[in-house]
Amino acid sequence: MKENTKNLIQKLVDQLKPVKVVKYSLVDFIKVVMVGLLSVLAAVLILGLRKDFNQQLLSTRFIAENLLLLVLGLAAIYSALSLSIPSIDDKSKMTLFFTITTFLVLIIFSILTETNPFVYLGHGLSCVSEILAISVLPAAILFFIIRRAASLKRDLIGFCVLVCGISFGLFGAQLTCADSTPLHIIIWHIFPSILIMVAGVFIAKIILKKV
Amino acid sequence: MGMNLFENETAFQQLMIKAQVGDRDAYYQLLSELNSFLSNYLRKRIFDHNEIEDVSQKILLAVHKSLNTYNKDKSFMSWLIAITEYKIIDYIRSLKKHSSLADSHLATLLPSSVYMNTDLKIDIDRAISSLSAKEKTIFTMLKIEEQPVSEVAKKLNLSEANVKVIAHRACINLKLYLGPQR
Repeated sequence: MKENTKNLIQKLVDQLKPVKVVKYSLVDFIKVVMVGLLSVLAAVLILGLRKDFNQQLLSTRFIAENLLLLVLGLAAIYSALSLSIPSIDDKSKMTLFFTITTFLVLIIFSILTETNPFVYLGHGLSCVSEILAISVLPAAILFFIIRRAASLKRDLIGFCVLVCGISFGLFGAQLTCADSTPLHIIIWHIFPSILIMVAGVFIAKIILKKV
Repeated sequence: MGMNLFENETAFQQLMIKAQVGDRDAYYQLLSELNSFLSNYLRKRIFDHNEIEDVSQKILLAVHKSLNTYNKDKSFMSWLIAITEYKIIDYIRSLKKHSSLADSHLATLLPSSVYMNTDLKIDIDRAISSLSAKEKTIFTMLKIEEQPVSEVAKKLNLSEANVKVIAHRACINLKLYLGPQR
């Protein structure tokens, strides 16, 4: 062993303090889900339910989209938590793949099942701000939980954290925005969501410590 | 540490658990043994042996920073290798950033790319021709033609272990030939 390696080891040993091992539990998982649902509830209370909500409840498409959003949110939380612990375990890769696939299925499903031939761009800034506002809290809580760990793949974790936030944001928009024309969904719901997810990659590099 | 991966797993895990509660002796032993384990591990992945010590130190630092993420219910080696592979990728990326040096450094990391560089190719051809006939054949088949060990062993009617030993000896001889003393 070279002298400088010996010195480094001695320095690290001198710095050693007992550590509290990072272990994620169901409580962490539920915390994020609860915060996300509370954010959605707050948005609904402020903006009100969409006018055709009762009709939508009978629509298979509406139910399926929301179920996909729920699966997406849960998969994204699981992916972010499992990626934050170093491991060559394939489980985290599989969940990440599942998360991304679910998101793509959701987009394709939303566009293909739309039967409304009326294409109207509309004003969607309120949708963008709603999605963003709802996304912030669950994403922040998830970042806070993960921050304790030593994240190797900060970019992927950031992406998953924001996918989680976005799933709640899109869920909120589903409940309040009655405009379901394809162009409106693509431009004012999906496109800003993708931008927010990409922003997550950069945010993670600032928030999470580099190993 | 002359143990296999499975033995390393148990020994490292025991030391790690003690280190996590603040046992400095166990931590010193863990880092020292990790250092020798990593040197062997990196030798197979980083062809520029001068860099091994540096990368190994970076991994030890990363292990220190990630101490709180090892869970005793999980595999220690899986945790360690994830950190190690990440640091190796980090090292390769840092080489790429130094674009003027990137080609030559990457050439030392990636055997097939060595052969793409004309100047290096001439040097390496000379070095290969200095090898014994058997070493030359095995090195060419394994490292240049990138044939699997099993296939080379079959073609030359040798055991796989024997092929690996001869290839290793060839690498040492090439390193000596191409080393800074020239």
